[in-house]
Amino acid sequence: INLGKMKLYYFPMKGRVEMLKLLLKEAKAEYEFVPKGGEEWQAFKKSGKLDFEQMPALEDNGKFYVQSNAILYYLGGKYGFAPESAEDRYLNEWWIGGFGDLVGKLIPIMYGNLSEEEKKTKTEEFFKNTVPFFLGVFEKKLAAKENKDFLASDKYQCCDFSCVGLFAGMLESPLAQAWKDILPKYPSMNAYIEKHMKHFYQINNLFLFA
Amino acid sequence: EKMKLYYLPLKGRAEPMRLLLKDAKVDYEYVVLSGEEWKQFKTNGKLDFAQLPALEVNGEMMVQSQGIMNYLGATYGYIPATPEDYYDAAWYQASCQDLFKKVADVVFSPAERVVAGVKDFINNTLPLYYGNFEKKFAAKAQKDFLVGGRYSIADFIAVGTLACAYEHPQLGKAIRDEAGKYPNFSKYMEQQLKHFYQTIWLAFHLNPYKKKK
Repeated sequence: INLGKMKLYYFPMKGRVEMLKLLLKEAKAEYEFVPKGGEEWQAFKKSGKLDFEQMPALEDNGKFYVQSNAILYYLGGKYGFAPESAEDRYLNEWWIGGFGDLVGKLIPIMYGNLSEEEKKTKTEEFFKNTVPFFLGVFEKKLAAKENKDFLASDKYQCCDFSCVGLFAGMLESPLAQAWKDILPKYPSMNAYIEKHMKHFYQINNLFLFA
Repeated sequence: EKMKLYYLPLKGRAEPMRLLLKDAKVDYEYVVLSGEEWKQFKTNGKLDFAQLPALEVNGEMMVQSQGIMNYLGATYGYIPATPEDYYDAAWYQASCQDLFKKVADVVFSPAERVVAGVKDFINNTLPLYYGNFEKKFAAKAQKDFLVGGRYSIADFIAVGTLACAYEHPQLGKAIRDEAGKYPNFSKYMEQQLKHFYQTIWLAFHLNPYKKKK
């Protein structure tokens, strides 16, 4: 039985859902995005449908899928974007893990109930130390690749959606300018992001992405 | 050329890959690093991120335990075949990544904080994770393996992550006291601990990974 279109649930923002939307867009798959905020989210949380009471969640044929990376791989498997070789699987996890660690350092700053002063200081530290470290490692990895249009293979795989989804969110956040200032120092990563921002959002130049 | 696994003398983040390599009967070299050796290893320029465990394969140094697990899983045939089964494996992988941090918090806490840590784990962490594991597992007809009816990365990750909880005297006992609430998953864990460690009760103080003098 077909229980209707796939449904993707998340807060009304890019965050952890954007990478899933990009995959579905590339797959030309039909789905419905159901934003849940405020009271609707509280009700959904307590409905018992979500394993860890977290979003994003995917509803496919009556079943609920949670954990953003698990959903990413599930959809990747369904639509042909999952890595297959041992080397590709390692690379996909390497990139996805790297982005996760990077975001993991930013989240306590953005959402950790810091004073405005502390938040400003920690954000500056983040862009002075953390970001150059991670972008440096990413740049080294990508620059060593023959085909720099994709992070792991020579076509879209899960890690590409993870990367573009992450930076799309960053580039429309209050930190956008800080990212725009630093990315050009890492030419392979910068070119990669520009290429895919153009592909998914029809943006020609990162600096014009407002 | 044999693979080399670099880590500290404990189960930690390397245990899942050790269990996989044990089941696959792979001959590899486990290089135990002391605190001082790890400091030097960090700066040798071979590691992308200054992290352990690291796996050296044919001259390439791999890091990030999730990446290594998936690499070894694909190499030795432990990746589930269907998108549904693969989702379940990825679900266990993601859940255990979070769970490991909570286990490590308790297992590596100083003596004076252990009692409170164990209590917090039993009241807050265990119900959330074991509740979900039990729910997912109870629905399966065949309960010897987590996914797909045979060993997969999900099993090594779950057992490897939880082994250090079960081997901790206070935390292990506290988890086992709750077994009645999560009968299927608890039974699975005891089966797997027996299979991999040949004992019902793991001896915390008999660390098999300590360097021999």
